[in-house]
Amino acid sequence: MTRRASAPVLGEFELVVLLAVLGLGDDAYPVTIRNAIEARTGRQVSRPAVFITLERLEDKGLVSSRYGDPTPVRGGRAKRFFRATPSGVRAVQASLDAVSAMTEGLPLKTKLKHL
Amino acid sequence: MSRRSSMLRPTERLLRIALGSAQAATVLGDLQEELDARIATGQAPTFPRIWLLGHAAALAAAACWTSVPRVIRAAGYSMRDAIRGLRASPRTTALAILILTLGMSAATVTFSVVDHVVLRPLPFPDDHRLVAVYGTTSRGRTRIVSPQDYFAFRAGVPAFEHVAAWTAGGTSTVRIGDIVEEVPALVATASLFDVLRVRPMIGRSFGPDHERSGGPKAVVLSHAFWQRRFGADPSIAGRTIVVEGNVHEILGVMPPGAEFPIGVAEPAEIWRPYVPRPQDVAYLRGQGRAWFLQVLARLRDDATIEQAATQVDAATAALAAQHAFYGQWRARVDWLRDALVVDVRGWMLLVLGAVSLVLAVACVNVANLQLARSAVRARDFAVRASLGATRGQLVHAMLVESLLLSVIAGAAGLLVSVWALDVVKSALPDGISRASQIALDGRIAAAAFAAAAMSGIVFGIVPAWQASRTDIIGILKAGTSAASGPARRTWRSGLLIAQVGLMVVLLVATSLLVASFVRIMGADLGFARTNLVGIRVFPVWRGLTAADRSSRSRELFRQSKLALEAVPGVAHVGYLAGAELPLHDTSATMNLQRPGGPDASAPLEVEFRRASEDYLEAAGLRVVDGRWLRETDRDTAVVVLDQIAAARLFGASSAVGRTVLVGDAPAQVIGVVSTVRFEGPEDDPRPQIHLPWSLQGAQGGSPMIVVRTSRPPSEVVPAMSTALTPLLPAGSPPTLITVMDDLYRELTADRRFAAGLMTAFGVLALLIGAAGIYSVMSSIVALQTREIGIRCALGATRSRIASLVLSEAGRHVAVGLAIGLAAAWAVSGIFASLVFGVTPTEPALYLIVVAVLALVALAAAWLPARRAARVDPIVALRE
Repeated sequence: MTRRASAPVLGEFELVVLLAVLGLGDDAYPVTIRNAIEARTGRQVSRPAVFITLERLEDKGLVSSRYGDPTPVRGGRAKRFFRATPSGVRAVQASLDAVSAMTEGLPLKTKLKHL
Repeated sequence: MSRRSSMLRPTERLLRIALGSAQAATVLGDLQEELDARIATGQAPTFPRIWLLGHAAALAAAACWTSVPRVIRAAGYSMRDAIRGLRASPRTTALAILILTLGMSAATVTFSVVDHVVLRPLPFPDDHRLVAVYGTTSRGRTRIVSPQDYFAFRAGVPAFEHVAAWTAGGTSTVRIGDIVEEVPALVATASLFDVLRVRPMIGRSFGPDHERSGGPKAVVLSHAFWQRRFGADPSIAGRTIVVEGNVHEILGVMPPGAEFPIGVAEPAEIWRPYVPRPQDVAYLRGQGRAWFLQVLARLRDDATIEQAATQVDAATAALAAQHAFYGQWRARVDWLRDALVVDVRGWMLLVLGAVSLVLAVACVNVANLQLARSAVRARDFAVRASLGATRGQLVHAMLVESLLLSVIAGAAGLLVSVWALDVVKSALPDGISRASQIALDGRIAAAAFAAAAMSGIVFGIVPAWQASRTDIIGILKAGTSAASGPARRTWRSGLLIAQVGLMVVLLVATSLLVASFVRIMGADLGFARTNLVGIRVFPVWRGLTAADRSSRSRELFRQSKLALEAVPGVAHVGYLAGAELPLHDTSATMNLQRPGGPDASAPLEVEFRRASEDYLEAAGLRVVDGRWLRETDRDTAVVVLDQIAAARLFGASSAVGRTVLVGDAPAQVIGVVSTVRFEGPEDDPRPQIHLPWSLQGAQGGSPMIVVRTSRPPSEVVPAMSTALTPLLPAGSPPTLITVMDDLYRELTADRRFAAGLMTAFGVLALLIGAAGIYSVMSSIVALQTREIGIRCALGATRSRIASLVLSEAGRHVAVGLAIGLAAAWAVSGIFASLVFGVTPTEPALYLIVVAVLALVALAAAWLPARRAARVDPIVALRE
């Protein structure tokens, strides 16, 4: 389990996935997460990449998963929902803080306004 | 729906395998959702089934990828838990490792030795077609033959594709540059390379040219010698080397592994051609017989060994018909593989059986230790089970622990095996075939390790399996005492009994072998074995008439006697004609009987010898009745019988003064001497008679000179050799000097080794067994601390407690002893062929074994008993 002393460092894709999870709230499962990333970033994301990243995040304790109720829509199969844990939120915040700190003073145009 | 589900089935299966059923369902659901979405928006894939399967496969692969670090982490946790578990009971762990190591290495080393010596093929191609030709008389076999025999085989045995003769065991003086050394040398016919189907890896072998007297002198080097003295110089062919004072050309180098003679401790370093002299090819008039060659042959592919045997026999018979001194000597043929191990196979297999027993004892021991350990850990399991650990997890934990134990023991065992193998190799008696090639056999080590590990694992897991089923609350409340359930107790008892039983069988076998060995070493041979030396000279007289030759020979022997008597340290010199020394080949036989009339008896086949009057003192025979031969008896018709002959012909009455028919000639019996056991203590001798021998007599052949020394023979032999050499004519074969003690030691070497080895195994088994009993009783006491406390509180004395523990141990040991003794009795037949002078069912031996085991068991159970007696009831009850 993660230590409380410092938040773990996130890779770029881990950050993106975590942000998607945070954004989707109660509806974050692999299909929606992938769609959200593809829609918002415009880049192609493979299912295995999402799968591996979610597993890794769970191992690190940054997200938790639970099984939902089976729905008739998907042939009676349940969904696996993901939520960010408090450590996950802290990790995202630390990453964004790091980016913000590094971008200070640089002549870059960025859409990162709402931090 | 049905079409959907059929489409999904393989996909489903794949995902289930990779992800587990719960996760697989969600993943499959995700894929289905996306597929439906695509179909709805008109972007349906052309082959939906393949689309599904493809993406599912990618996800399955991803799952495997992510699980790798998890698996490694889990393994790390398992290992950490296992180490903790092992350290929780350090004494049991250490003991288990020690026992496993000992058992494993003993088994590995022994099996490796036996495998290399008895079971493996020889290091030459198609070795199963190699045969050895050896000589037999009525009593036994010898490996050496005369050169004339070899040439007869070469000419007259078409069943042999190639036949070669060789002699080794001596050294040659070799000088390279300024350095002189004695190296073991092989002298062989050029056909040896064809028989063995090996060629020098550099250069060439010697050919017919080198076998000519006066031909070019050449040698072939062994691989080891080439590396050692020539630094593996690749341009070695054509260089020269000085051997025995003459310059020889180095023709080539043998490949590594082509060691000859096979299996001796020091294989030859140089191979020299055998250059036969004219008298070696065919017997010259008046020439005696010399033995110094061994014969090896390769059978033709289409010939059988029976055909070869018939032809060899015919060749020998032809020689025997021409030369009376052949007597009953005949040549036989045997597969080389069998001939090499015939003497040792018996006891080697016995040793193999013994070490298997040791390994079994070790395995049973470890199993018991594991059982004891799991009993102690039952509480630990109960706690884990109550916290939600499944049976699978408990079993897994115990399995990893047992495996870790086995791996540690395996590594230790391997180290010990390597060291022990070196020790054993150097301790093996000389003449054990292929001893130099013994190496650690990986398969055997793995097998021994697997056997030991299996027992440890099985008996570690079974209780863990049961733990998750038992009354957890009960265990937690009642403490560990309730955990020693009846099933476990039965297993423990059974294993203890089995262990004791195995030990009994092993100890009986050991004591039989040791007792037999003691009997052999102390047996009465009928003559004095120490300080006895036999000398054979082979004078070659060239260009003389027969009459001249005999007179020269007589003179030679007369002078030899004088010369030898003049050597300081020589006490008596005698002659023995018509035979070898005791412990060698025997001679021909003839008939002995009481003369005709009412006293007539059936003729008795006896071995006869002609001996000089000094022979009695030289050989150290004992006169039992009458007297020995005197100088005045020469050329008279007298005979000395041995005890067996006298008893057979005359029963209880004295034979002295009676007349017997020796062959057809009457002779008077002047004395009876002790029976000589010519071939060692296990010999079952025939009756023997001694007739007078004199230099002047008409008997042909060269007698053996028998010398008794007053000092250890090693001090006197060089002087004797020096005294004799100038008396021999030039060009005579070297004098053959045999020290009786050395011969005897060789005869009994393997017995001595077997006895030593078996003793070591017996001691090892005792140690392992004692350790086992100690630890089992210790754990029983530890588990029953509560009961002991209660008994103390109720008034039991300390000595009563101790005696309770001892009697429990004693009961098990007693049952084990009974079973073991019965088993040993049942297999005693197998031992019968391997022991001498001891009946396998001698009660005294069994009693000793029982006593030793009982003592050891008592000692092993003593400490736990004392510990039980010292238990403080208050502490015990509080537990």
